[in-house]
Amino acid sequence: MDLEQLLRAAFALRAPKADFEDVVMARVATARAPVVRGSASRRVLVGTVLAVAAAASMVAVQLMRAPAPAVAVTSSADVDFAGTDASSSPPADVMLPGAERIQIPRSAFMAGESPPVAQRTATTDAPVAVKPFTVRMQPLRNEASELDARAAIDLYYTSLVAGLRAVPGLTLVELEAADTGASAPGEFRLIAFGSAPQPQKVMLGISEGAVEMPGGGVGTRFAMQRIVDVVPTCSNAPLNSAERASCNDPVSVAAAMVDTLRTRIFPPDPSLRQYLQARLTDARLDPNLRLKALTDLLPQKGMGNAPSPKLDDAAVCAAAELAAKSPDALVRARVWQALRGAAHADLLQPLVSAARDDADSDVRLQAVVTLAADFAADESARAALQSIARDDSRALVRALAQRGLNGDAAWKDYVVSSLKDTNRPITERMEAFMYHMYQPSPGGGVLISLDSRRILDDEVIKALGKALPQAASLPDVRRMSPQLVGDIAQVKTPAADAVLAELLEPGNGPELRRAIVTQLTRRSSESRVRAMLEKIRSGDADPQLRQMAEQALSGKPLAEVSPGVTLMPPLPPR
Amino acid sequence: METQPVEYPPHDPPSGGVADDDTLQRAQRGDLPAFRVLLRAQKSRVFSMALRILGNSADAEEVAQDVFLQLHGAIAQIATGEHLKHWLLRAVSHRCIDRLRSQGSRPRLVPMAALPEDALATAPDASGDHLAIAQVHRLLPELAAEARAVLLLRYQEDLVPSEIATVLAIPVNTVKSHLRRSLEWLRAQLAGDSHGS
Repeated sequence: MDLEQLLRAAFALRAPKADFEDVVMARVATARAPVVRGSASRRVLVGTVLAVAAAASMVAVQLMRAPAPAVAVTSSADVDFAGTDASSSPPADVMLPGAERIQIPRSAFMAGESPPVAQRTATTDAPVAVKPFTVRMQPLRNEASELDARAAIDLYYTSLVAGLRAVPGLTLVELEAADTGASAPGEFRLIAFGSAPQPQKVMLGISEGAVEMPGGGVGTRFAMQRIVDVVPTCSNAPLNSAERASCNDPVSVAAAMVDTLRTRIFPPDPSLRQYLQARLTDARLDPNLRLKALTDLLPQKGMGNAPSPKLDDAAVCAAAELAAKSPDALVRARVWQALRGAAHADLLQPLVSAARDDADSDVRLQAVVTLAADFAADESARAALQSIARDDSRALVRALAQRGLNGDAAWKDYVVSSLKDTNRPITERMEAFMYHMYQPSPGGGVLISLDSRRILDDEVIKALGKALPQAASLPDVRRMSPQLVGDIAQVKTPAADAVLAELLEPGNGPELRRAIVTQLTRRSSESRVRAMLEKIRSGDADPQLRQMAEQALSGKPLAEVSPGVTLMPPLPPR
Repeated sequence: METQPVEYPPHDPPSGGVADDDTLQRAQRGDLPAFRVLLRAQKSRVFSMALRILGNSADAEEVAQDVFLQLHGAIAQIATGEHLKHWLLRAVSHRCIDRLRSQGSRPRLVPMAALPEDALATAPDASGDHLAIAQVHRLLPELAAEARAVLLLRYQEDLVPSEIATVLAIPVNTVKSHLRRSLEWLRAQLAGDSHGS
């Protein structure tokens, strides 16, 4: 071997340690995190994230910690989603105590939508004062038994801590495990729990201490609760494939969580706002990233922090331009939805144009609703709504324009009558009801409120029971069916249970039936429900359903028998 | 002493290759998974350069991390996959050279008990030249930092002198001079070693 050959052999490429990528990505995500020098054993995992609801047990735990007696908490039903199946549960908005709504945006779950922290750092370094605040963080309880799951959860938590340390104004206090003391005013408390029954899931809860409650008194506000799924669903995809690119890994997910906390939970950060505004107005940026900047800029109701200031003229102009020019109808629709409440005069004409003329009916729908919400008193807006209510090609758009003109009573009549009208196509029968119950949020999640559930009287539930077998295959209905049957199950009237019993009959789809059994598990102590479960256990043809019923009747957690349809386990005591 | 002419034949690029433009563009739009794809493709190239210039993997990993962090902040400036490769090589070379200079590091003799980690990690090869490869690794730290970088860019990355000059921002004649002297010195050292001196 001559010298040059020898040198080439000697200089063959060497790979760094296995955790190198993860460490770099964590540093990228946190920008200013300290260097980790290669000893930690992290695993490369690719994950995806879903947002689901909070567990009732979280409420109980937080109640115990609440420093003052006047803690206003809604019933567990308000924060309790069931059927947290990764394949069926959409990102969702969750009711907060005090009948406030918290949005769990889809943006936090989409790869690449998180603004690069390194770029943001330049903005956050700007000499703009950030109100100091404290986050007390209890240590991660990682009870996952599988090695990969444990590693993914550890990585998520490590990245989250590193990200929080980089947040301007934030003092992070890592608590001892036994510390369950009350939070001081203005302090946040964050817990993370890696679940054993549901491997590769992390439950994250954050509360704000000693805040004034809407009903009076002082209590702990549940700022946000999420379950993060770090299952590497895309791990077999080719490295350069679009599928792989759309996956999230625990580091990205943690970075997105930090972004969400900064924009929606923590005290407002003026420099972050400047950064977001710059992104919104940057016409060269991907429209989805501009949309995310817009949604992050807008005031968030029901969040732990004070409402953000309204959009200024430049931001409104940029948003209108995005809504008018984006080739992606979904972006256009979400921009108009996000701008609801802005009520800026410069938006009136673009809204009228979009409501009347956009080729996509979802865009027209969102423009109509925003037009009605923000400009109902304006003559030109009302004229536009009248023509849309008469002429639009989509029944739901016409009905929403009517709602803008005539109010909610007429709208609810329309929802009920269309659901009952067997002469309409099934899509048209269901869409007003589904829109009323589960409105899409600008971030891509779903808004759910107590108010929307009030429409579920016996008459509507019976009509729903007749429509659902046919409608179960519609994408929107199928996507929301766990939530829908959960909402019906919570009505708890004989008529509602009779509808559930009908839908449990073997002729209906297995997914719908399993979702119902999952919901009934929560009521397995009730005689009427037990009878339904006994019937399933004793003679149903679906072995998985029989097993689920058996498990429900025995009082065991359903997650152990049905990995596809799972319930969030209660938070075990520390 | 008579020197042999140094030729610069074209070679296939080492593994790692060149990033495709689509991935690069997605990374430039803030897509973290795309950035991870770039990282995965280029990490061995950057780490290997750092390891062989600095001589230990802990420092090399730290420098390589810093380089990728720097890349993330500057990703918008990268025009093509080829540009990315040269940008990374420049960044890692300069960081390593600066680090050695700041530590006051000078060429030194390395006892066998303190072989560079790369030498210890070298697997025996089928041709029986593993001892010679280990000797190269042992000798490498004795070269000046810039000369090490030149040698690596030439024989790890297969860059020609003009490319090396661009990466390191030094005159091309300096590159050629480094190469000639380094090869002469290595050849002499290896000949001496092979005779047991």
